[in-house]
Amino acid sequence: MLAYFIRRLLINIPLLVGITIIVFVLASLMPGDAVLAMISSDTPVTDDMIKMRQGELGLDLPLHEQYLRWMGNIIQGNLGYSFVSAESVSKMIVSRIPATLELMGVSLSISIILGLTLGTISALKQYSWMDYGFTVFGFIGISIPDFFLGMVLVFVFALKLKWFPTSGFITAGEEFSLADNLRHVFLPALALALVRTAVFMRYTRASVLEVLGNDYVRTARAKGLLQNVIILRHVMRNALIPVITIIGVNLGVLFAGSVIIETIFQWPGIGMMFINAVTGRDSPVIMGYVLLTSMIVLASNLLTDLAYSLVDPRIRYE
Amino acid sequence: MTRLLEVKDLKVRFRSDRTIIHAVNGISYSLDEGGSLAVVGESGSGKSVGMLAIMGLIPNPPGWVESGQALFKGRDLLKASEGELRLIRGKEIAMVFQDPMTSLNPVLPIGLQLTEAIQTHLGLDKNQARERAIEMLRMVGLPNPAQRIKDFPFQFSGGQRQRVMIAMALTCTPSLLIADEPTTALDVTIQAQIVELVRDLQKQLGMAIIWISHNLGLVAGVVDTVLVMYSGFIVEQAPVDDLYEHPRHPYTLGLLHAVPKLDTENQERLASIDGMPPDLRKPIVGCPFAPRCPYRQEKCDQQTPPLFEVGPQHQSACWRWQELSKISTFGEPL
Repeated sequence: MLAYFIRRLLINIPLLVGITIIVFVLASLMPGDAVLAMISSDTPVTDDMIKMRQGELGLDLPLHEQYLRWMGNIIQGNLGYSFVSAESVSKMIVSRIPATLELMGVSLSISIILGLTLGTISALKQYSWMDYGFTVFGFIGISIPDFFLGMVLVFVFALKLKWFPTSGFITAGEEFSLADNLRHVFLPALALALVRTAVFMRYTRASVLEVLGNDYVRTARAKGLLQNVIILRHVMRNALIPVITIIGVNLGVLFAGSVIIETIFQWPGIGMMFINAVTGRDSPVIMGYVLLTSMIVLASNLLTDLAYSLVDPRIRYE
Repeated sequence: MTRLLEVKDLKVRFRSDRTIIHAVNGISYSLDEGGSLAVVGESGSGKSVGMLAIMGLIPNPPGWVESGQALFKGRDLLKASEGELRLIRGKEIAMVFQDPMTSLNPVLPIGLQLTEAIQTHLGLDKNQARERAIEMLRMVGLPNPAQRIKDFPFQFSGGQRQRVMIAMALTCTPSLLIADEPTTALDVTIQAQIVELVRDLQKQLGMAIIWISHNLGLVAGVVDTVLVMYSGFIVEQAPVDDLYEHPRHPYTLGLLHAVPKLDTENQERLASIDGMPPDLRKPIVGCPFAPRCPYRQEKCDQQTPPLFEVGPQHQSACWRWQELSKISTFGEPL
């Protein structure tokens, strides 16, 4: 088992190298120029000044040399420095990742709890008005883009009802308090959660329905067990197995999806850092971000496999 | 002997694509305490559905009990609430299903699947329940029960799984065991072992048993009474020896004729009954077996025959039961 996971980790290394090449090429192909992006159009500049700055940043070297320099630094744990602020990219990531993880965590918890519960109810009450209601909700949830939902939530719950703050991590000028922070995280987390709630709900419904038709559920009923025991122990345990894959896939999507939501809600996470970097053509930061995202996707795949083996005793990795 | 179960005029229906399937069409039978009954018939004859109905295990939708009574120890199971039935299922009436590969939950250790019923019905604590489970597994002949109780279903062979299923059914010493083709999915040698096991346990525990099977030969040695079903009707009911020696219904005759025998000198082609069972989407008019019956008369197409008393405890639903005593093989002219 352990050997399997170590092997899986090692397989991910060449995958990551491949990703770095693609990321690097894409970042270099990006229209616009870091040096030009720094310059205000009001200040007169000469071509020499631009060339000098490019030289400082190493942008005048051939592409493959730039790549090797970048990779060489990464191996030493150095993701480079921002062209704009000259801050270390790894430090920028480390200081911003907790906010993003908090947003992801809250949003994922909401969607797992809601999605699994509603999906199970939907399946148990198949073809009832509740089932139809949840199905309609599911279609709406899957169809609404999260940035639009985010704006609607701000308009309704922050601007009109004033239940939640419009944006930010904590109330400006106040000491950090968890309650205040949770009030701030709620709306963006909800905006991110809706799509996934709908997706998890639909998959759970299908999966529970399939499991309900199995012989072992009839056996459980024939034993005279309580309905709750049948559902939780016999049905859910089996129905969760395919749902876990969907949750695993969504970890990566959620991380990437937070970019827009973080911008809308001014959430000081890694997504906002990325948007700022793109506007500033700050390629070290962009590449650092994309590399991190790839690693998170690979890690969530590995986690999914691990979760599988915990839920299903038949799965033993050799 | 006291009456344990009395089923009267049980009718079960299923809905499918806007039509109604007439799965069980008014069957009546009874079973004494400690007695044994076999329900024999081909696939789709309603034998399993009839049993699931009395346990309240027909999935609704699409199925429902249209009418009838099922008096178990004097209580009508068909009128009992889900809560009342829950207390009877597993404790008073237990069931062993056809396919041991799919009837056990694949992701739970067998120990838990045994103890959960014990804890629910007998109110034992975790350790006592575990002891009881081990004792039951030992009784059904599973080697090393104390170690194997932690194993998952996929770690057992088919025969072992069926032993586990039997142990599970018997943990609360039910007064009735319904065995729904428990040997169908198993090898022939294992089949014999399982039949033997169930018969021994029945004697040991003194419970009544209903054995559902499509195999006449298999049930011959294990039950007192045989009930032959065809398209949701009981066509013949008799003490086991009487049924084999003096069948009084053409369908039973045909079934007996279709059992392969090892002792025949000339290896003839195995006889079969021509035609197909009737379409259960339409209500059956006349005798359900008439379209396939070589002894059909005009009356058979128009009137459904009642169960005639043709001998001591022997009933047949054939208009020509008296004439049938003259022949010994299916298809032989009357």
